[in-house]
Amino acid sequence: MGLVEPGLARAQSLPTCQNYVVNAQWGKLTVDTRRSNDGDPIGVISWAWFINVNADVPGRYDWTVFINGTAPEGPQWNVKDDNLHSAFRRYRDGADRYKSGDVFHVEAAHAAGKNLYVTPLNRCRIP
Amino acid sequence: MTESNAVVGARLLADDIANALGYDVQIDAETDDRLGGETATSSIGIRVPDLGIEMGYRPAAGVAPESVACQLASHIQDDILSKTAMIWPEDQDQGDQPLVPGDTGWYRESEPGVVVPYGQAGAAHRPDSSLHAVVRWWLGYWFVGVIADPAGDVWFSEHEFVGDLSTIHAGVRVDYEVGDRLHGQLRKATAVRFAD
Repeated sequence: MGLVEPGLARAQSLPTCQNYVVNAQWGKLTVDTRRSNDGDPIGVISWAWFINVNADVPGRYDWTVFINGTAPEGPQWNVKDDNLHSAFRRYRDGADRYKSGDVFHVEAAHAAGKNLYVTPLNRCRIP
Repeated sequence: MTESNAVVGARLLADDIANALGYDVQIDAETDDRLGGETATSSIGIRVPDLGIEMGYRPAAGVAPESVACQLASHIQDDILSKTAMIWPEDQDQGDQPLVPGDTGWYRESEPGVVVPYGQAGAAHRPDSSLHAVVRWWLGYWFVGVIADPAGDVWFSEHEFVGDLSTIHAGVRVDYEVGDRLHGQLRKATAVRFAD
């Protein structure tokens, strides 16, 4: 799943995860950092996957979120009739799962009829 | 046979859905005993067939039941609210803003100390039909919400909202435009901003 992670110098050259958008022919992946309600300015990474082909949107989505190339939580799936939207909290079960400078990426797949969608290559640096 | 924490956690959430809304809730647990002879839950899923809702994941070993309930609840609360148009789980005497899932139980986003344990949030109610053009509820952990509208409530997310997301809360007045798509039972906004 995860590619070998680039070193810190490489991470610094990545775009930040603020208003990060990766466009594809069929839609886009968006990533943005959000303030959590406990006041942490990067407490939540909100991400969404928009498929513009309306007939292909409903169904099961499978995804894994990675921080520095490793997955803090296992693969997940969710059946949606609207585009997939998820949020990844920094503080969970008594521990922080990322820090400023870490690299976020998500890998997701969605089958719709004869079409298989996968998220475009994405990688951003948490501000 | 003792149940894994994953199954216990999923069952707590299933009880909160079934008791409040009356739907049949299915739990799907897969086990993997290939490693070390100890049977571990390799994936846990929850389904509400009548609503077409399904979510699951592979929990980390040793995770608490409440953490599993939180993970599952976070990913389906918006779907349940939007597909039933009910307020779930109800925060008694607090209007149409539901409780939200946390690591240890349901809580009130504006007062994080208020916690209702998973498995004990067994109530829901119909939304207040007298409200108009105000945010009815907002899930601050997920950045989605609903605007009360007598012609049918309007759903929106951070992607349709222009303004400071951190200041959205139930009861705030908004201006909005409605598109032709649906999110569950609810009409979907194309643009939302705070009213002047």
